[in-house]
Amino acid sequence: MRSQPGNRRFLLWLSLTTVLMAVVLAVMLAVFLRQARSVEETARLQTDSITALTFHFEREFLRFRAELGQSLQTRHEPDWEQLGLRYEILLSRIDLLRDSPSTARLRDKPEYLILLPRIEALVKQVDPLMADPPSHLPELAQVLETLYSIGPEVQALSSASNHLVSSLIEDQLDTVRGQSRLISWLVAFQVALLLLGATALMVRHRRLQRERRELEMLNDALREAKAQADSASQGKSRFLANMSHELRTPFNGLLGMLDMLEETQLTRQQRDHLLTARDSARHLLNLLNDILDMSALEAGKMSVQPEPVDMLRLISEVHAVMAPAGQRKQLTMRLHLPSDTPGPVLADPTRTRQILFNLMSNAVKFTDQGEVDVRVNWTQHAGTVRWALTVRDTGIGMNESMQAQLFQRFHQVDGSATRRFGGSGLGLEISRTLARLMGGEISVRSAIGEGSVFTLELPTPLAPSHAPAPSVPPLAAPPASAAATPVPAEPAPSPAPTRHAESIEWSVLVAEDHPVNRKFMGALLNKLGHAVTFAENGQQALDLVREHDFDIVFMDIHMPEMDGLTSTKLIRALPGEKCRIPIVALTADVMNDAEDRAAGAGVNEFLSKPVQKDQLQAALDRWAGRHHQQTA
Amino acid sequence: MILTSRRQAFIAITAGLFSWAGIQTPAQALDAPQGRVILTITGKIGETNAERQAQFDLAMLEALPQHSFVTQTPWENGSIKFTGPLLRDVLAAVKAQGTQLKATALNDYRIVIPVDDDRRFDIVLAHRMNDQLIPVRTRGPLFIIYPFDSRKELRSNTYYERSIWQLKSLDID
Repeated sequence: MRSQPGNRRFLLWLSLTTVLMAVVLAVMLAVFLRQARSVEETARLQTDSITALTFHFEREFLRFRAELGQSLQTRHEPDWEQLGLRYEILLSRIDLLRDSPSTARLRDKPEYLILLPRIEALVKQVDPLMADPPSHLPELAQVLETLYSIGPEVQALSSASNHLVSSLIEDQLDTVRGQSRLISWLVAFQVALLLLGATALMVRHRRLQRERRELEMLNDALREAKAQADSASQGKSRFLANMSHELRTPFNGLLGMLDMLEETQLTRQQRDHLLTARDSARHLLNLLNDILDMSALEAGKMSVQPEPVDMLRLISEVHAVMAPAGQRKQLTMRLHLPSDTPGPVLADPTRTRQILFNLMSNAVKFTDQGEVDVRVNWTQHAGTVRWALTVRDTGIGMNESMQAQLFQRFHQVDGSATRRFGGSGLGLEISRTLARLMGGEISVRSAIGEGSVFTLELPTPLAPSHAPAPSVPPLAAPPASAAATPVPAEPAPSPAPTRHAESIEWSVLVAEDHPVNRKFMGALLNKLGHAVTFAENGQQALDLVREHDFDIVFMDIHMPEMDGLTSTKLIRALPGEKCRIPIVALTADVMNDAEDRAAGAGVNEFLSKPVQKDQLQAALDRWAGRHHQQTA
Repeated sequence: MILTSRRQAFIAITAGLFSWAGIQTPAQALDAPQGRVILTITGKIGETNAERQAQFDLAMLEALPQHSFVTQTPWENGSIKFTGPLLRDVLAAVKAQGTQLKATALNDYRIVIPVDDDRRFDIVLAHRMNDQLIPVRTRGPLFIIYPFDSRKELRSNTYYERSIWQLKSLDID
């Protein structure tokens, strides 16, 4: 993390600043307290100020002196009691001057030091006289003289105390001023510190904001890049899906012609070459199908269509197809089926078959000796049958990192194996995607040299009990309601079609715009012994059906001027028996909805190109024969 | 005023109870002073023993219920025990009816004391400091003293000023 040291430094600064602020505040508090004490002191000085005490002393001094003067000069009997009172009051003032805590500061002044001994000496002299004043008149006159002589010093004490208090107040003021200055500096420092802190915070905030903005921008850029990559990838998938028709059409012709060639007289070497060519073409077609499936999955154009299926029978059929390939490699091909069956379940037979083929062919492909063991188990819970199909081989096996990459796109077990085993690397990904589409999962257990165990788990709901038996052509369905007739499941490739209809010559209309395909279909049908009429588009097909009687129509979907679906719909709208003619759609589209749309338009069966000879014969047997029986 | 009257009525009753209980009190009607007059009360008073004034000698003050407390003052080092009647008992004795007291000292020092103080604090009209009679020389013979040590608010210039010594007379206004 880039910002971590910066963060730590910031926190350090923050705590340092905080501590500094706290210290400054503490100092300020101390200064404030001291100032408060100073003010308190000043107040106390004023409470009973030195000046008031000296002033009262001077006043009582003067009043006693005046009273004494009057008593000595009066012709009447003097008020000696009044004089005594004045003397007592003066004495109380002298005591206060000497003893009161307030005058402590005055006591080291020269004026005080000179005056007080003289006053005290005087008091010592006067005290006995005041006990009986009338009998001591001359002495009292002497005292009056003394009182007059020390008058200026009494006054000087007043001035001195006045001066003392003002200088004390000035001192206090100086102290307070100094403290105020200190406080001002501290406050200024505090403010500066605060500003500094605020600035630092602002700078930091700005930097964080900038970093966040940059991150957001980066995020946006990444998101945009991802969206672009996704859309580019999707575009490619869409392109490939759309290309499927274009790619399969020439293949149709190529494979058909190779099949035809095989039927002719060939030298051994030519036959060898031909077989190699056909194997290569088949291999290429497999790769192509993988790629096209992947594209369809990617483009979201593939969906699963469950129908009642006898799962055990389906598995047996796939195993029967794969067994010869294994036996050619001297492998033991075992199949363990459970003794009982849950009955028909709802599953997509085509996709299930595709997964099974993939797992079993992989097992055969990567095993050079030993066995391929297929084991099936099922459990039932609340109307759902959970299938566990295990394919165990004694092949090369995989280590953990290989297993981890196994289901990744374009993955091939290892570079060298690619050369040896071939394959698109898409098979397992397609299988797992399909399994997940159906709510299942494929898992693997393996170790180098100890073979691999692939397990397909698949939950399938039980089919309603009245559903028709699966994998059996719906013979009972009337062909007239062709639009509503379900397209039957692809028949198992192993059993050979019945040959009883081969001798019957059907009148067949083939609507096909591509000349190679027309030639291939023509050759195939001729070879089977049927009369073929061609139409190059939907309109021609419609016209021909209207004018002639055909036993069956093979209708290409993609054609110029009028496509096969429109043509089918119009044929179904013809009056009389014409509308019941069997129509078999042929297309190279792999998209699911192609089949749906064809059924919706009213075709009886849907064959995907390239068409094999067996498929063609089966369709003829199924539809033309029945049509013939009904119209006859 | 009504409140004041009530309070005074209460004080009068209290004083009456004391007298009934046999505690040493002066007669209801103010007697004439026997000794030297040390306090003269004038103004709005209900009891007199001279021409429009009430005069007190030491014995009359000592005859009222006595009160003591120890406190520090700004004028002395250390604590001092003050003894004397409560100011409010003295005022009750003369049936004072004013809101303020103008107190005057022997040296003509004058200060105004709100009667309210008398309600809030136990102010003593001290005639003894540390159990000794107070000569004029040590700020006697009478000293109005607040119980400074009992309340913090009392330790301020306001109440120090009102603590008048060498008290001579009270004028009820």
